[in-house]
Formats: sequence, C-alpha cells, structure tokens
Amino acid sequence: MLPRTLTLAAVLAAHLAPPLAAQDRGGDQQSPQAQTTTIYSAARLILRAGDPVLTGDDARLAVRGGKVVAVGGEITPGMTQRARVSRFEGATIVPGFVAPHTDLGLGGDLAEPIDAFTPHLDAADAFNPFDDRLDELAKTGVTSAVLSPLSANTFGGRAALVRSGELAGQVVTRDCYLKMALVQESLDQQRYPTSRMGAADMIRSAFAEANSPLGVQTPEFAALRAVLDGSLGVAVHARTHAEITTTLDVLGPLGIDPVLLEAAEVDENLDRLTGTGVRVTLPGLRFDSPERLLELPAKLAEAKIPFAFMAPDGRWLRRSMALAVRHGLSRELALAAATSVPAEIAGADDHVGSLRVGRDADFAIFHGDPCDLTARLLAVRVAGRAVFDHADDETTDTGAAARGTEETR
Amino acid sequence: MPSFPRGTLLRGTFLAGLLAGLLGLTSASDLAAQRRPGGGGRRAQVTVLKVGTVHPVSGPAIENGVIVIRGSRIVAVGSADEIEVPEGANVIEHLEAHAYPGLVDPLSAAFADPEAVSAGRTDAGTPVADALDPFEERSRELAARGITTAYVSNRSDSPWRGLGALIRPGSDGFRDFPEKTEVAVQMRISAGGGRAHPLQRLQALENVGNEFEQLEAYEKAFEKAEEELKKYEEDFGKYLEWHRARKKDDGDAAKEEDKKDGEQASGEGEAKPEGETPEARPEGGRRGRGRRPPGEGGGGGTPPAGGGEGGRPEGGAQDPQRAGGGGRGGEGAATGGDAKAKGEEKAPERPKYPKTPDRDPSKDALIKVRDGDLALFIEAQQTDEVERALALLGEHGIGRAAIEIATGAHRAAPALRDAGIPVIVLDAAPAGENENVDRDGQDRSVAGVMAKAGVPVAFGSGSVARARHLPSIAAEAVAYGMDEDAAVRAITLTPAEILGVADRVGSLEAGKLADIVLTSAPILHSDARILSVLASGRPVGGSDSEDR
Repeated sequence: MLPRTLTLAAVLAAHLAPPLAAQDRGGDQQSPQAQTTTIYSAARLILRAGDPVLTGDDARLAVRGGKVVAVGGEITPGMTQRARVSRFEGATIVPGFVAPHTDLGLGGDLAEPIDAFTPHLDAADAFNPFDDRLDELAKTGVTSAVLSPLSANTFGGRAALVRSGELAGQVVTRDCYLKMALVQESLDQQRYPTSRMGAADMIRSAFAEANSPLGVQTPEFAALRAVLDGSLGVAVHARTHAEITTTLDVLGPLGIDPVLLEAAEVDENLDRLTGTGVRVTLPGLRFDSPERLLELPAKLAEAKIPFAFMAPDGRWLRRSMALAVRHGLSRELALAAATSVPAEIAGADDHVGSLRVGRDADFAIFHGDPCDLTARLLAVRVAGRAVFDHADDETTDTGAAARGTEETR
Repeated sequence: MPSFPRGTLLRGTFLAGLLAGLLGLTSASDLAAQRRPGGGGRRAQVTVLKVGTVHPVSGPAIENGVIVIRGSRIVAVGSADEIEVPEGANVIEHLEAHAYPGLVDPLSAAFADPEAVSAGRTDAGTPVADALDPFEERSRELAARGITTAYVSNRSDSPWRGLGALIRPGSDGFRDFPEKTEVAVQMRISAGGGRAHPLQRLQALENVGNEFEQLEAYEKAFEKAEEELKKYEEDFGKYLEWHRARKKDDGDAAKEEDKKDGEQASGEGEAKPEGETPEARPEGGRRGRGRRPPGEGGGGGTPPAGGGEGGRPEGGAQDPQRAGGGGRGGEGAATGGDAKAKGEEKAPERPKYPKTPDRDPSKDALIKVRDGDLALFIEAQQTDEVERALALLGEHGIGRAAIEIATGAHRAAPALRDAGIPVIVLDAAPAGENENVDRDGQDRSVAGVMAKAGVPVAFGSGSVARARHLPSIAAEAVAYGMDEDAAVRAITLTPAEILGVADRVGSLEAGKLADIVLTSAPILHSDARILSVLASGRPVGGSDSEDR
C-alpha cells in the first residue's frame, strides 16, 4: 500500500550532471549549496486546483532540498535573507501536471500479450530512468506520469508513477492501479478471451477465485486480492458506451469503483456514475476533436464526476484544458483535470498533484493562466530541480515582463 | 475534307445559337448581381454597434468603441466620443463585448469533401471551386464561428493542385467572394513532414521548375501560329487576287453562276465559277459565315482573323474565294490589276490553313502567376523545401507567393524575410512534437520563429473541425513568442493581405465589408464566447441569403 520510492537516479545523476549544470539555474539539490533555500515569487500561486489563489506576498514558495518548506506568510524575513529569490513577475505558479496514463514510448515492453491474464506484472520493471522522453515531458510542464501496461491484455498489470526530468527520473510508486482493458485491442483471436463477453467472464471468474478463501495463492491472485481489499485501484480502458457499460456491470457487484480510461462515450452513462467513486480519464482534446467530446468535460463537471485528461505531453494537456474552458468548464476544474485528479487516479495525491509543505517541489510557472493557450511556460521544477527554464530570447515587449528575474541575497 | 450534310449543319448552327443565347443570359444576370449596390445605396439600413472594445487590427484597440455600418459596409469606426450616431440608426449595444474583424482562413477545407477534392489528376489550372459542396453541413457552421472569408485549396499529393477558391461561408452554403474569383495557383514542393533521405528529397524537388520553363515554348508556339496565320492571310490574298484577275478576263459570264452559288450553299468546292468579285456580291461575307460549320471558330481557340477563318480548309467544302471575298474584298479590288499581270505567268499554290496549338489551362494559369496576376502558394515543409521554393520564385521572377505548412522550416526564416514571402501555417509549433527545440538548440516553434524574424505569419485551419478553433490555434502562438496583436492579425488582416483582399476584409475600417465578430472576452482567451457574427453587415444564422 505504501509507495516505495527509488532514488536510483539521484545516485547516478552525479555522473551525468556536468553538461547540464549550465541549465541548472533555479533550485539544485546536487550542488554544494544543496541546502540553500530558493524562494519562488510570482503574481499568483495555486497550491491545489480549486483552492483560493494566493496573490501578492502570499504568492511565494520556499523550496529546500527538493521539498516545499514554506508557503506565503510562513516565509519569515529570516528565511528570505538567507535564500535565493527567483521572481517571476505577472506569473502563476501551479502544481506540476500529472499524466494519468502513458507508455513513455516503451510500447512492446509494456505488454505480455501471449496471455490475457497478467495482473501481477509491474510496469515499473520496464521503466528506463534515462529515457529522453522524461526530459521532454518535464519541458512541457508534466512533472510526473503514470507508466502503465498497454491495453493488450484483459488484465495488463500494475501501473507505476514516475517522475519526469532527465535526472529526476525515478519511480514514485509501483502501485498506481491495476490496468485492465475491455477495448478491442485487448481481444486476440489466438487466445482467450476473443470477445467482450469472454473478457467479462474472465474478470468475474478471476475475482471470484481471488475472493475465495481456498483460492489459488499465486502472484496473479495476490494482485486481485489487493484490489478487493481496497489497497490497489483499478483502471479499465473502455472507450465506447458498450465497453463502459460492461465494465460497470462486471465490477459494480464486486464493489470496485474503477477509473474509466479514455472514456470518450461516458456521456451515455452519466446518471449511473454520479455519486459513485468512479473517476474518468478523457482522451486529450484536440482542435479537431468532435464537438461531443469537447463538451464532455463541462458535462462531467455538472454531474460531479471527477475526470482527468489523458494526454501524452503538457502541450496537449494545455490544449485540453483550454478547449474544455472554451466549452464551458471552469478554470479550476480544468487545472484539476491535469493535476489533482490524475494524482488521485494514480493513488498518489499525497505525493503529487498539489503543493503542500513537506511535499516534493513539483511545479510549473506560467506567464498568465495555464488554461489560456497564450500563457507561456516559463519554468518547471521537479523535486526542486530546474528541468526547464524559458530561454532568454531577444523579444523585448512580452519578454521583459515575462522573464523571471533572479537575485541572490 | 468531306462536306457536312446540310441537316447536320443547320442543327448544329441552331444548337450553337441556343448555347450562345444561354451564355448571354447567364453572363447578363451575373453582371446584374455584381452591379447590385455594395451597401452604398440611399435606402441601405444604418446600424450602429456600440461595444466595450473595438479591435480594428489595422490599429490599436479602441475602448468604448463604435462601429457604424451602412448596408454591407463599415462607414466609420472610432470611440464613442468621436463618432456621431446618425439619426434613425439601428443601435445595438454590447457594452462588455469585444469586436474583431471577421476571421479569414487562408488554408480552409470548407465545403470541400477531402476525397472529392484531392482525388484524380490535377494541374495548375484545375479549379477547386468546381468541387465544392454547398450542402456540407459542418462547413455551414463556420460563419457562426466567426469565419467570414475562407480560401479553399486542394490538398492532394499532386505537385500541382490547381486554383483555390475564395469563398464567403454562410449558414446556407457559401458564396463566391465578390469580384475576386482567382487568387492563387497551388503547388506542392514537399516530401512530407517526416524524415526523408536527402537523395529522395532531391529527387522530389528536381523537376518542380520544369512547368515554368515550358511556358516560353508554349507562348512561342502561339506567337508562331499568329505569324503563320498572318502569312496565310497574305498568301491567301495573293491566291485570290490571281484568280480574280483571271475572272475579269472571262467577262460577265460569271453573273449567272453567282446567283446559283447563293442558293446552293455548300459542296461546291473548286467547281465554283470564278467570275465573282467582292463588289458583285454584297452579302458574300454573311453567307460565308452562315456556312461555317459550328464550332469551327472556337475549336482550337484560334483567334479569328477576318475572312481568313471562313476559308479554313478543314471547315468542310468551303470556297476560298467566297470566304476571302467577304473579308478582304477591298484589298482584292485595289490590287487586282497587279495580280492579274503576275497570275498570267503562273498560278500561285493555294495556301494551307496553319495549325494552331491548343490552349492549356494549366499553362495559362502559370502565365498569370509569372506575370503577377495570380499568386503562387507553395506547400513546403522542411527548410530545404522552402529554400527550393524560394529559388523557384526567384528564378522565374514570381513576386506574389506564400509558403504553406512550413512545419520544419524554422531555419528558413531569414531567407523568407529577405524574399518578403509570407507563411501560412497550421500550428504554432509542429503538431505532435514534444520538443520545440531541435537538436542544435534551435527553437522549432515555426510561428514564433517566423514572427520574430519579421516574416508575415497567417494561421490556416486545414480542416473544417480545426477551423472552429482558429482563435485557439492563434492563441497558442503567443505562448511561443508571438505577441497577442500579431496573433490576432494572423487570423484576420495578414491572411487577407496574402489573399489579396485586404482592401475589403481583414480589419475594421471604413469602406470594408462589415464582417464583425463579437466576443465576450479577448478572442485569444479561453473564456471568450462568440456573442454574434455579422457577415457583410448581416447577422449570420439570420436571413443572410442576400449577401453583399
């Protein structure tokens, strides 16, 4: 139940650090001044989507050793004197984005399709902390991502939450959720199940076996028992109305409230979901998405069903947020759909998705509101480490106000 | 040449006449439509729009702005203090709203079924307008989304994609842009967005300029044909003169024969008596024409050359003398004496009508491009493709052009700026790319890089679905370094300039069409909702059937 944290990358990082040291302007936990406090000051600070926005002197965040150590009024003049101060005028600090389901381009390494029943597999085992993609994710504002088994199996395996950023790449937890799938690509004519009907039967029988006191004691069923005792969540890939309905029909009687992944047709099931613990991830919204999908976030909000956007990078997440706001969603819920809700879906909302004293300093700084596409991403910190700073460019007008000014006192 | 049976001939003439009549009718009604007053009429309704902020795009934003519209046009734009509201005007107040010019989509797929438009072979002269479908449902919503002008082009893989269509989307279909039918020839110099081997790319780019090189030969062929035609006319005149001269010697015997000739219109050929002279046959010209088989004059697009056309040997059993007599009688009479003297020595050979080349719509379109009457829009994605395109433009002296897509062309920005060529892009940065910085650390966000370099940037939608989000597409560019005013310009005035219609659309200025989008917040912001759209002064979705 408790996440195990690996800091493998932190150890190896020291060897790789020199070429990147130049970029490392903000916080830094590897350098000799590792215990220096950095205070990030902006116009607005959002600790958690939906919380009151902190402004003025309250819009400050003190970071030391990769953790948030003080916020707003807690920052004493004494602290300020010893700290480095990074000022971002007119900017907004928000929690780093969390991607609720990615494959980080690992593809085939995340599926064992010969057998549809592999709930004991661990996506964390396929994780490559040196993957370039982690760096790319970080540069778009995504500070952690769920690495999930593919949808090739009915029971795919356990998903893991990993940190982004080239050197910060590490596994936060190996137990995000049990990945299951009812979509077409989970069915295979070469093995059971070959149909949605067969998949439903496999799910029912497997959980019945796990539920039986005399049931088989193998790692597969241990994973299912973790689900039944509530220590592991379930996320089911179910796009269509039919797939969603089957998921709810099969898991409902077992008392399992799944996360519905990429549930583009969930608008057909809204009544059934309201008031349950079911959460939803929506496919990332695009400029050419159908109107029905673009209107779905506002509908889910009205039905009080928590949802997250399932986009492979921060740019797409921002498009999703902005398009949802254009179609009637509040800015608070749009930000939640990229931060706190995916953190809850990953079962890691006590680690990521919001900023609190004592938590890792994962955040992004935008010039403007991240729900406006016009807002430029200025900086990203993963566990206090600078993974992205907007390059100083020659622009004078927008740049002057947008550029973070940095002083050491 | 065999002669046409009389019946066929007559029927053909009748049909041709009918067709000509119909054409005459349609062009007359077209003219009538065009002549309809452009809103300047005395009886046109005056509407005054009072809004929170007017964004004219051509100038700075105006708080408490007022727009005065008469009929389909804007007659004044300014702040509430400056503008006097005319008496009897219909005043509409949206005091919180922002007013923008109607959006201009320079890379639209409106009313164009992608399959219908891109299928089949196209050349530079293929008009995409013929393939548009006014009943396409989703495109009918575009006007309500603020898009009041759209340029639709063929997006096939063909290197030549024909002429795009400039249209005014409406809720009941579309109309042609008033008095601007042809904008640009579409061309593609691209091996696609993905990575391709340099040799493969080179191969794809190798022959692109050939069409332009062939234009000279094409035009020469017509010049030559014209010369040949002149020579033919001269020779034919001589030939006639020789015969006329001989006819005079034969005396008045020809008079009887002339009458007979008038009744039997065809099939006489060389058997015709030679006694006639133009002076003796007042209606010779008319008869010559009447006997012409239908379609002959227009068949090869031959420029008609007086009586010469009637004497064309392919035209059935026409009599050269008669035809020539119609058009060149005076000349024949004046020089008859000389011809006679020569003719007695040796009969001149009867000249053959010269072959004329066929007109090629593709080459005709390219000639317009070369001469600056049409623009050339080139899709080029990578830097080397853009460079090739610029070389092509330079080589053939083409001044009016734009580069489309340009996804990977961030390095070509200085070259584009120097050449003064604008770009039409689909996205602020390459779609589906996480990285906006390439391997050498160069910024890849095309719109931002181009804007910073001083290259005019316009955003096109590329699809009907994306067209609904043109403001969002532009908004994203601000995050990549464009300033907000430039981003709004990139979906209004800049595309209007590229399309050559900035005198009528693209900004809120007196004299332009009253295309106005009212939003609840600045248009690039996510809170902005479209409150209403006027196209040519009429609310979209209302009865906009009588446009302009």
